[in-house]
Amino acid sequence: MVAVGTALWLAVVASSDAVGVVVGLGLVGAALTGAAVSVSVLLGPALAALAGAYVALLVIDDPPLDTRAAGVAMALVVVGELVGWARELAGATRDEPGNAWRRPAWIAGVGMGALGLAWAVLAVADLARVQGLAIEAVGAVAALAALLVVRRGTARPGA
Amino acid sequence: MTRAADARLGAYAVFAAAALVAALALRRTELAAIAAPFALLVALGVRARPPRLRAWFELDRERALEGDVLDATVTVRTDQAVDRVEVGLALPDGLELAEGRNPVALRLANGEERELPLRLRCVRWSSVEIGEVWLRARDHIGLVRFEGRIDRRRPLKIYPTAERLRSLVSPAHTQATTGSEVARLRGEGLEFADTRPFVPGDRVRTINWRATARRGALVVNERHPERNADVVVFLDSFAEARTSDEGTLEQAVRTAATVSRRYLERRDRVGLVAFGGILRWLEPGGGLVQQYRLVDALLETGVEFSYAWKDVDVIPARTLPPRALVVAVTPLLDERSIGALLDLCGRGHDLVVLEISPEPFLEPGSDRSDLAALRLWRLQRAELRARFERLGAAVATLDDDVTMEEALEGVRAYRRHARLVQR
Repeated sequence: MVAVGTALWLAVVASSDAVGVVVGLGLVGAALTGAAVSVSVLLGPALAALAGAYVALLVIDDPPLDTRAAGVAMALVVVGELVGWARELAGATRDEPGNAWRRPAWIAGVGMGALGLAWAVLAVADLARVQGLAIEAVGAVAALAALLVVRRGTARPGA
Repeated sequence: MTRAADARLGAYAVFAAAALVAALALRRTELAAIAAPFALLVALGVRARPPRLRAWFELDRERALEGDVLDATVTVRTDQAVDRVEVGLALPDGLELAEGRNPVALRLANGEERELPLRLRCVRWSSVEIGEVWLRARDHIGLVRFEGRIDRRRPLKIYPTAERLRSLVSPAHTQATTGSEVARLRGEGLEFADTRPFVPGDRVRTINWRATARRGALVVNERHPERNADVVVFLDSFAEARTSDEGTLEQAVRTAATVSRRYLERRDRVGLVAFGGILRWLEPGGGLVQQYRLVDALLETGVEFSYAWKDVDVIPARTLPPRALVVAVTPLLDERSIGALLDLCGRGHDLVVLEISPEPFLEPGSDRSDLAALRLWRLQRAELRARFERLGAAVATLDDDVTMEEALEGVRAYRRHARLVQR
């Protein structure tokens, strides 16, 4: 539902030139999200397709600095966490009585955190936009950080 | 505990990297903003450390009967707080959960110990080991989980329930020691057999004074002594017909356990031959210890696939004593066991065949050729039963509609009839 809502929201805010591509990618993303509940490897492509809809909107409409990116980030994080929760619920393990509310509360918190972080990045970028090369530095640092995170995530424990 | 990545970890990491590369390529800061929460989640998620978890398992007893409910407790203790730990007790075949939650997800505080009471129902006889506890822990983020198995296994024997039997098949021959079976021969006993003229050496108390008065000469009573018998339960474990829940072997073991227990209660000596891919045997013996030995041997019985041809020659001679009653419990599906039983008949053993009918486990097809095949198969089995009966071995068929008591009554009737013909 969140994936479909995200796709529809992007379709509504897209211009008439971009709406076809945005709707197409959004629906593909929503379908992949549904499939990712049972086939976990599809979660990455689902997120990529949903983000692709937003990328298409950015490329075709070319807004100066789109603050809706924070909303997209929140929606994508919530989609990913909901897929993870749905996979847990599909298993045989049940929570103790009284603990069932923790996961939705966590997902809501993570969504709000993602919204705030994306806002912060956009605010820094907006600040840097008027200072020329600062945006390049932010991008390079972010890419380096992403590579370090991927390397750490794939490293063996104790290695 | 082993470390395993959740599917989200790879998806988030690749997505964040791709979004950042796209941000650089397209020169759009918005994509970096989208990537940032995912990158942060991955960075925090991979920092998770394995928790120190310990678990224990307790069971209220080591022996049970089919249908019994056991009380079990799984105890989990942690030295540090765990946001979510899944605890599961591996249930072996023959046990199912009657009450409680298994598996269950817990939230444990620092130094907390939690007991999980479970009630387990014994659904099928078996000899199992229970107590393998698996744990799966994760932190708040849940991108990395830690899995482990703690082995607290202990043996559990689930004995088959014995069916109620009022009477058994009397053996054709008895042994020398005292028992509950009225012997054919004459001697000291309770059951009246016949009268005969007095001979020197007869006890005065055996004189039948009424007959003596009528005949005018001393006449004494003869009696049948009470003796025991040797019974060998022949369990065919070469093949079985089964569905997912139940098979002929389960019923065969229950039948064998019932028969052996009832014969032991009559002070007979009972032995066992489990004739299958693996040959198991137990020499005839009596008493409570023998009863436990027999049941333990029955619990070990399983269908072991084998191409090896086996006949009665592989059975140790002492396991099949002469003049023993052989009670064969078989689905009559494998040529090797059928051949062995016919061989026993040919060698003069007193044989009774309790056939565990495989028909309840069949799902015949609906077309004409399938139905014709089923009719032919039934005819073949009827001919096989007739072949046993021609050799003097009674065959009783046990299925859902026929209880063991009814089947044994048929065997007793057949054996009374067969003796009359022999005379």
